[in-house]
Amino acid sequence: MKNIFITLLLTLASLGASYAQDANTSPSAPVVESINPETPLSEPTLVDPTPTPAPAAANEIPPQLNIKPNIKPVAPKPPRTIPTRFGDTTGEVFIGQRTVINRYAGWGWIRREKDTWRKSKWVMLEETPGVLFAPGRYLGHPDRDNGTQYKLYGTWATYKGYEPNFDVFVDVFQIKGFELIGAAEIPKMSPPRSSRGRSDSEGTYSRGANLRR
Amino acid sequence: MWKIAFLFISAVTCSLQAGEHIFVSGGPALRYFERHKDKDHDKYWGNFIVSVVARQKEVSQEYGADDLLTWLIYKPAHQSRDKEEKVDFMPSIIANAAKINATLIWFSTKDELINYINTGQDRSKIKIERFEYFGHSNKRCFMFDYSNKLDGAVPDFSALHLDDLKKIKPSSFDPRAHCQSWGCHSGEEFSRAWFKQVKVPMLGAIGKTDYSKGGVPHLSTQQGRWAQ
Repeated sequence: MKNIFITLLLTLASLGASYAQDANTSPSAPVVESINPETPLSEPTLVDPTPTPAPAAANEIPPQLNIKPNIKPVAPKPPRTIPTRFGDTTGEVFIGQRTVINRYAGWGWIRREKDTWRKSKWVMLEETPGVLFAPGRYLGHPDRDNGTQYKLYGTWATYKGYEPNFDVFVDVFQIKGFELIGAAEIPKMSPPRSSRGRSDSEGTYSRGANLRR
Repeated sequence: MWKIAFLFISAVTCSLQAGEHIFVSGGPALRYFERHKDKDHDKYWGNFIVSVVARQKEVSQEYGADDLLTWLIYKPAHQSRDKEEKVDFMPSIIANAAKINATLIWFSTKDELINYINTGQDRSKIKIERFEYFGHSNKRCFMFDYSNKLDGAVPDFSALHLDDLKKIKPSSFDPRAHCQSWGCHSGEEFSRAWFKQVKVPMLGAIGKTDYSKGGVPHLSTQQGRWAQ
């Protein structure tokens, strides 16, 4: 009887050992790839075959899965928005309506605060790259604020700007700050044009000599 | 009869005297303004510099031993492009001028350029035998500062318009001078106005010119041609 019991124990032990060996070599064994990107993929980490403790509570993470990835969390990019106020906002107030006109250089219409739009001027904006720039550049593309109205602060330049498509010289506003008003509509107006007609060519104006370089 | 003889003698005298060959370079646009555009310009800052060097090599055989070679370059646009790229290109420009033995003169306004044409040398003795422009232009204007100070536009002081040509003294030029604009569209209107005011023909492009190959610019419009 004692011999039978010992034999039974040995058989069970050998069966257990072979199961454990199978668990190490079986192709169907679960392989968990390292999350750390620095670990070579050719040496996958195997799950420890030793019996796992009793199932953890729902809010606990099993220790073998509690591997913190070595990846820095990527902060979501903040949405591109125009600040409500930027730069020096002291001095005379001008109201500016950003207006994009196809193939017509310039920023839009500007009037004094007390004036009506009938007295507004089509202007070019003198910016200082990296320091003072047109509000629409906050949106990643200077034209994306088309139809937006601002309070503008700055002065009129002593020179005019040459519009190369319509061959006219228009006023230049040197911006020093702005306040966002928001989307707005103004009466439809046409910017100035040369009495000689357009200065672009064949309807497909190329503004410079260099197209690709 | 005497008139013809006088003209003949003055022409012979003129041909024996030293003349001046002038190259004019406009400035590059800023990438800050151009990078958002479908057809952007001046990815390379030195388009209007290397093209002059290449052109000078082409025509260097046409100079007399005593002829002057002067290179006028619009400075403000180059300075602001330097600032944008955080690279000082001025030594490179100066080295290029030295390479072609040109006297380098910076200018900042169209009036400075016109003054040089009229009075930069003793024009009773030294006539302009060659005048070539490399830069941005449309059919009515040379734009030395295109899209550099103003987005897609030019300050008036750096736009040599048809209306400014009357300030140029025709007597500054040798009657047989070679004048050429390597900018876009000059042959469509500017050349005609130049001849009317300056009395010397100017070769200009009908269509666009392209500087992207790095040497002397070439016509890039399919049916483009040179006209004067």
